[in-house]
Amino acid sequence: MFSQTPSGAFVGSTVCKTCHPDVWFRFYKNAHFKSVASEKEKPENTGCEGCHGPGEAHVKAHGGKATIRAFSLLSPKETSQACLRCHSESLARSNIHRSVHTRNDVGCAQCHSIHKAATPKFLLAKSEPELCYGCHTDIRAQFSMPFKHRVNEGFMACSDCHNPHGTSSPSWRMAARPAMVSQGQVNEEACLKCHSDKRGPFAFEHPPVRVEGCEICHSPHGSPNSRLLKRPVVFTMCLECHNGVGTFGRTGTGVPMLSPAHNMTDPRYQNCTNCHLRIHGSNADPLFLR
Amino acid sequence: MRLTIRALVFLPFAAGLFGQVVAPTPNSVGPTRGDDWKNYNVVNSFETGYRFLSQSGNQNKYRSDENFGSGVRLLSSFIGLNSKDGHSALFDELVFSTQGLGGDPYESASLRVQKNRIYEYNLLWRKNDYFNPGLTTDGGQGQNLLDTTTTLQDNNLTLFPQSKIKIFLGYSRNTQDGAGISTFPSATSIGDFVPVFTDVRQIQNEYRLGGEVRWWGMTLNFLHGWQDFKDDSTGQVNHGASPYWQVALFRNARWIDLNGRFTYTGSQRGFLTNQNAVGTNQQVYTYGDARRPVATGNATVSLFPTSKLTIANHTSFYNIRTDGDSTYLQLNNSTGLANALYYQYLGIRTVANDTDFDYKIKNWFDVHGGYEYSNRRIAATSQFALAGTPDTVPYVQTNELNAGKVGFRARPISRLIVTVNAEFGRASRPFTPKSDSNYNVLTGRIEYKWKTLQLAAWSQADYNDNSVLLSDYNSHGRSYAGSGSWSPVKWFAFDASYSKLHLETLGGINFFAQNVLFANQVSYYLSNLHTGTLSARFSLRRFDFYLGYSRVQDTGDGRAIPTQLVIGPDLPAFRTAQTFPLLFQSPQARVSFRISERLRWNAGYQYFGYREDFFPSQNYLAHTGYTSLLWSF
Repeated sequence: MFSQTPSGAFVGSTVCKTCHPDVWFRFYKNAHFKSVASEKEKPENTGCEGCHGPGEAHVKAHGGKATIRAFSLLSPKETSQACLRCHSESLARSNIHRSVHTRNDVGCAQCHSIHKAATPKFLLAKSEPELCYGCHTDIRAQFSMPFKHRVNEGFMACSDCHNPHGTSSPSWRMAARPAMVSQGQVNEEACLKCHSDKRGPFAFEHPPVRVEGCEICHSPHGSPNSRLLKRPVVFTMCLECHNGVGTFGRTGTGVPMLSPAHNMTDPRYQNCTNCHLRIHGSNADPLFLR
Repeated sequence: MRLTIRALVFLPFAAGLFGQVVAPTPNSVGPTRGDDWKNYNVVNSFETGYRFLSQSGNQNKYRSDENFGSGVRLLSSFIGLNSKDGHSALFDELVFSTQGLGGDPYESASLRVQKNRIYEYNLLWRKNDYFNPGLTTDGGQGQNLLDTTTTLQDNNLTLFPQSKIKIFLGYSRNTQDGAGISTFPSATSIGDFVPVFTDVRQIQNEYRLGGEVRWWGMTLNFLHGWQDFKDDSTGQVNHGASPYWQVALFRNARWIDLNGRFTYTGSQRGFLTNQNAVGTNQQVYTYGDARRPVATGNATVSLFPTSKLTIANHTSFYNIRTDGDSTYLQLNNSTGLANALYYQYLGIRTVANDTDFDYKIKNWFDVHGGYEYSNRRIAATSQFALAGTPDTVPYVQTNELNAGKVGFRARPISRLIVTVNAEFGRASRPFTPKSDSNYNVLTGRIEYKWKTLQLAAWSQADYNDNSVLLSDYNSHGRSYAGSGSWSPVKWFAFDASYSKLHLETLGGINFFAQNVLFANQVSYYLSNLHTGTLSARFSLRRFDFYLGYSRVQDTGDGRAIPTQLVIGPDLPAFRTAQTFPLLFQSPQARVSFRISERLRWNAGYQYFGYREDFFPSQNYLAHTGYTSLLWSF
């Protein structure tokens, strides 16, 4: 299974602390200390040897990475296999083998640091969002925009919306391009966890919200435009769909275009949501007027 | 050795507070190892001080973007207790931290308490002062203003977290209160509306009960939740509940992983709206309920036939139906005329299957690929009578998506990683002109690491060709990004990043202007968005310095005046909508002085400058900063 599979017997963590006191004396603050404190786990599932394998050969050789499972020598895939021996027993990680991270050879140790963690919870190597920005440079740029979700301010974290261990297919947008978005309330867009007033159901749904999801109009990370919209002005964004041509829309005859009463040279009509203010869905009006 | 241990103990809360805002201070006082108390080690930190603001220009826009004010703040705090032997009486770990308490627009607190083998409790509380002046760009008038406070809290309790039988309990609460300005459309003429003051009052409560059972290598996870929503804002009553269920069964073995998941949500909302327009003697009165049951199923099989090959197949299904009823009375109080309104039906059923593989050809080179097929059926009825029978025949449309993925990852030398991914999708019947139709996404990334130097470059081209009136393209996005970080010595670190997003979209539009039809027009939007960040940290004796700079600039299409026509309708409003050059920059500096082993003094300054080239009414400048004392052990 591993390129390094140490042989010999288990010696117990108290032997390890003789040479590794810096690790051992702060290990009681580590989440993995639970396995030691329980005193009921088998030797292969607890303490240092639970991860690093039996230490007898390592002790006899007076150390050396070749005689123990040294994670610095393992490939990302092997590292993940070692961690998943225990940590696969979680629904949140049940899709890890098909996640984009795994597919790009991002193993557990790239984000988690077992002995030098920056956060006590989840043992992250850096705190969010710096950890994620380390690879996702383009996302750092998006959260620097004038309009943004408050990630850099520490109010939100990337993991509020994303599951870095992989997710099931989304229940919107053809179940495609999931971007590891974790689903709120078991089967809906993560946005609705906080924006609960947009959840509905509404007697009159704005169809693309349900069919395509919020990203059809919004840039969820950040945008130079008000309300994270994809366009600086509202009317062009609306008109690009509501042009009445093609086979688009709920009736296949094109998304309905505006009536002649909408004079687009008049500023009153250029902010569409001044009148169509229940644009995410309405219980009182099929045109979302109230 | 001792210094190393003590510094690392402090890291959890020192590093956890770093962001791109100047405060709170991420620096530690010094090598902190905590104090012992009974059977616990206690680590503690408080940073309190004064935040100041001097702002000019558009205050509404500043409050919308940043919203930091003046006043005394508990900028951050942290307390952690860890049991030394894992056998303490009430808890073995307690971690409590706060940020921004006392008036910052983004306040939060978290608590984690756990007793090994018995329980684990997590609380996250957040409060956000939300201000939005409405859509004011490009000459807008700022209607639909919101000045509200949103409070979110999540409580999660796990009983017996290390056993084969676990119990999950949870409670979440989400509220939004405050003032808003809404609009009420006039009955006299389309486009006329009456501003309406709104007292926003929304509450969502959610309760969760679940469990997890493991036996014979299988894990059964189940969850039942009740979500209750209430909106009592001015002029409307909207109450409803969304009970939901989730059952999952999964197994991980050496050669095969299996997991299946089924969810069902039965959402329902009852509503009542009563609006009066005094001037026109109109009363609009609506009541009814809406229902949206959602069922999803997912099944994944992952195979590992050899140590070099992984194959994963995922099948998903979801079915959404929206139905309900609505009675609408628009009373003319003079004549007593009334109308009934019928709701619309929308049903979405999607079945998707995708297969991915990853094969390691050499230790330094692996390839991956995949194929996805998705079939979506949408049924819509424009009018659905109150008795439950459709007035019109449901219109049914089916969209099929075929998408392929391919890529490789190479590590030709130990310090260099090259990743290339491509995805190609073809949809037969996109729902809107902007939906994914014929899309191609090509992504490349190069990463180089040598000692403390890390360099990365990234590029992505995302094209979606979904033409309406024009045959060439709809949306072309190209992104380029690069980043570097270097910390050659312990007292110096440098980070820089740059990103460019080129977005060019062209969509067909039809509209009216002064009763004249503008047919077969195009909406053209061009954005060249440059973003850069720089930061440097260095230490001199007892001083720690931090310098940072963030710059966002949309250079637009290079035109000199906003009404210059490039492509699109020959109307001023459409010309100015084609590009929107702006500059948003924020330099910052912070100095932190270690007074003693447990005390540090900090001061920082951050400038926010926002400038639109064509619509200066939204421009603002803001000088913010703080001074604080950080006490920790």
